[in-house]
Amino acid sequence: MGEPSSSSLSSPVRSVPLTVITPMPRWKSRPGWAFLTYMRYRSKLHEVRQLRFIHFARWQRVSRRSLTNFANQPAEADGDDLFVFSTNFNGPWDQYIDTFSRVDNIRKGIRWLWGFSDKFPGPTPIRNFKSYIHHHTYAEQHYFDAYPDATVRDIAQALSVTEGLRQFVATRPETRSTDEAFARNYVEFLDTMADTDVPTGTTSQSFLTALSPIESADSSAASQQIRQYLEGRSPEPSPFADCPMVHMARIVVVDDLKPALGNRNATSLASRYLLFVVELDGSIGDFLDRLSDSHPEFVQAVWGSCHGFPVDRTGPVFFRQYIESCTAKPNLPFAAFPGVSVDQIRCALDTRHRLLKQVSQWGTAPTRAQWKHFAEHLGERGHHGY
Amino acid sequence: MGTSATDHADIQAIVKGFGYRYPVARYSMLRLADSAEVNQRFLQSLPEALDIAEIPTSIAALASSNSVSPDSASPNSAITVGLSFAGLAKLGVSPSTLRSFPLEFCQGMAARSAVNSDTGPSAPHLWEPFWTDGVDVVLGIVAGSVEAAEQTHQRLRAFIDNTANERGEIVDHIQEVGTDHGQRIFGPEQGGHPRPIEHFGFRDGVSTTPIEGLIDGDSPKIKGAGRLDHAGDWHAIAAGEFLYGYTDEIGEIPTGPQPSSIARNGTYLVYRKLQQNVDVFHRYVQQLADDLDLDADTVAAKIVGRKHDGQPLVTTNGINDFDYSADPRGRQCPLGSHVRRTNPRDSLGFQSLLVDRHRMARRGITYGQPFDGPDSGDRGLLFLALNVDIGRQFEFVQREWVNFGNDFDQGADRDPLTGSHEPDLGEMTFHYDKANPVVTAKALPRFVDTRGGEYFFVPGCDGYRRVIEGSFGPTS
Repeated sequence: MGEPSSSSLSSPVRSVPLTVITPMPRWKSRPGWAFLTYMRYRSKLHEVRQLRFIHFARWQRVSRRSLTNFANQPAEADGDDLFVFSTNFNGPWDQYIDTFSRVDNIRKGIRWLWGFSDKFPGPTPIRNFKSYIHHHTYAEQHYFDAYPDATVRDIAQALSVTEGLRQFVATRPETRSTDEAFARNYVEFLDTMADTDVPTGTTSQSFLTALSPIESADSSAASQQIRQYLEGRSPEPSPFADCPMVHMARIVVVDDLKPALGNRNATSLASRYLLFVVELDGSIGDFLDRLSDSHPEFVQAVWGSCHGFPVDRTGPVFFRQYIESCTAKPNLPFAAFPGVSVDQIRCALDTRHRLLKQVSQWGTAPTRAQWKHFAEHLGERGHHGY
Repeated sequence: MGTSATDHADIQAIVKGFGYRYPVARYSMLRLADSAEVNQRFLQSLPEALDIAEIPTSIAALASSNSVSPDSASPNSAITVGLSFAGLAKLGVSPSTLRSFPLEFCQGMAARSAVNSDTGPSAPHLWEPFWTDGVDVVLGIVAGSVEAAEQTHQRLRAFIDNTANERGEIVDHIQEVGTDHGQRIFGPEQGGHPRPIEHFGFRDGVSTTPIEGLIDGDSPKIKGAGRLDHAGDWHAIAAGEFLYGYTDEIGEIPTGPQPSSIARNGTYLVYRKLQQNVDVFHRYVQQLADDLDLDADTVAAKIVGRKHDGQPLVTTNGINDFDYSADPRGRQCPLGSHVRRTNPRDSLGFQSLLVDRHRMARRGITYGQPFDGPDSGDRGLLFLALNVDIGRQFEFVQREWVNFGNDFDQGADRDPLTGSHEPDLGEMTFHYDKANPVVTAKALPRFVDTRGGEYFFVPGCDGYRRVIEGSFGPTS
């Protein structure tokens, strides 16, 4: 999904995926990779964070040669490498792109990041940049968001409020001598609760990008079948909902690497590919085990017609090994809340919601007993050790 | 092409604005005949019929008429002409030119109701019926007095009647299907001058978007109203955000309808009749203040984002020369307040970079009698806004800033004053003072309902002349 669908125009959707794959000429590919590596260690992508509407973003070079992993797979001939950009953001597509090219440092970043892609027009004129991105956008056949109702700003506020509440609860305000003394503390807490800095998380986040070649005997039929399966099951809950470590996930059928407009000598990919992009907590292996354990039929239906998929040997170990053999190394990942886990985000959103509801119901300051009950209730939920 | 609007003899006067010398307006909504030739002839004869030299009135013409009688209490009427998509078609504009207009304009405001949250009591099927039956032309008559406006309006009506009579038994004729009577209302004097207010009782017209080329480069009115740069200086907004044919804020010339001669110096008028439920507003604010033992005027100011006299809620150098950098969390001026949402200035970070592309030039005027006690009188605002890209400017603000709250850390909360609240669900949370740091206004009713509206193309004077001469017809 590139531009939001017309139905989403009436009710702004909370997170929108965008997947852009541009061709990277071989001679630019190595410097491009070097630049991404440099950015990964040197750039904090401050401006992207300040925009506060991007959950995740990733820029990744995938060398065409690295796509040939299996003996029976047609070898990829020399041709342009792939530059994969995947992101999830809040708000309309146009605003996102428009903003990117207006902020100085982001404009420079765009110039460099896509500067290694074929026939990149630069961040301005903006309509050329937009049509370049639009031309190279691929539709997602499956998209999962672990907290679909929350924007980056919602999460930032929830984490901040939750941290403020944690600090307040830790002072055991209900043990004050009188309700009046408690009320003073309570009002002070409300006054400053949204000012607490968003805490830095400690969870290690992982970023999976895997490209699996679809069987070539009739890859068109196979890719169509995968599309139909994924799109046909869309009302069903996503299997990723049963993988509590997953923030966001998407599956994209890549029929070919779209050549840049005006390039008539592009070499097609030898196979169609299944692009699998996941942002998650902890180890990629654990996630893959969990997915194949809980939804073997999904794994079979999606990857079953891919080269190298262990048809005869089922079970998590094989799926994990299979996806790992298709994995491209991450280059430049961005996360709005590095180190903050899915569970922490969901709990913070829930805590903020319940706190604000309670504050609004109380109107004025609650009694010490009311507060004690509320705080204990938080503790009973077992989240964050209140 | 530069960023400065230079062609004052071709740009309609409404783009610059009429100022308070013209406190009266009549907006006449016309439905044209089926015959393009009849329609063209009608509009061609209009200047003679109304006894006005030039229709539409250009910025240059308005300036020269004012210079002839600068002290006149009743300057001559000035005329704005806007054409809807259907109107352009009925004037014989070719299908290929029609197709080159942007989608939002082609569809029209009623069809865009979901985008604009014109739902519930604001839904198009509840509008004044002529809007959904079709309005082809809006003729705006602005004048210095009710009498002058009335006189011109009567001439228009007589001319329409004559045209219909001339055509005898033929049913196909031009009709005036609706009229809106705009009249500024004034509050208590400030600094020895009466100040215009809107019906909720707040001072109106404090901040006017300055357009490059239409405002003096060092005018103090630019401060707080324009674009904010890194150094903290304010600048007028590039003319290309409001007019075809000029460079916009990102240094590009917006692509418009083709051929370019129809587009040049043209803009889009977003016309909305917004009924204000003044009684409901006053009662709601008083109830909230009583329930929480707060001051009602302050609660109203927190909802609106300014005090009744127009003074901002943040520290300021003047009534409009301020930004929100000292109030990032909205402790003084709530992040969700009406004024902060509709012109966030630097609230979103990066100076005003994330805001500049969503600005409009507002040319609205109040209608109806001032509120003086509980009654059911019809009063409100004729919301008129000009922009070159309805989708990026008006509709974006309506969708993202008025009827959604994310950009202001307000989740899905809507603009407390003008949002289309669902029954019992409208909410706003704000910081009142240190003793009341979290105040929640619950079950916000709708204080404003849409009664009708349309998107009109306001061409340059030359473009208009060519339209009514049939120059953009299929055979031209």
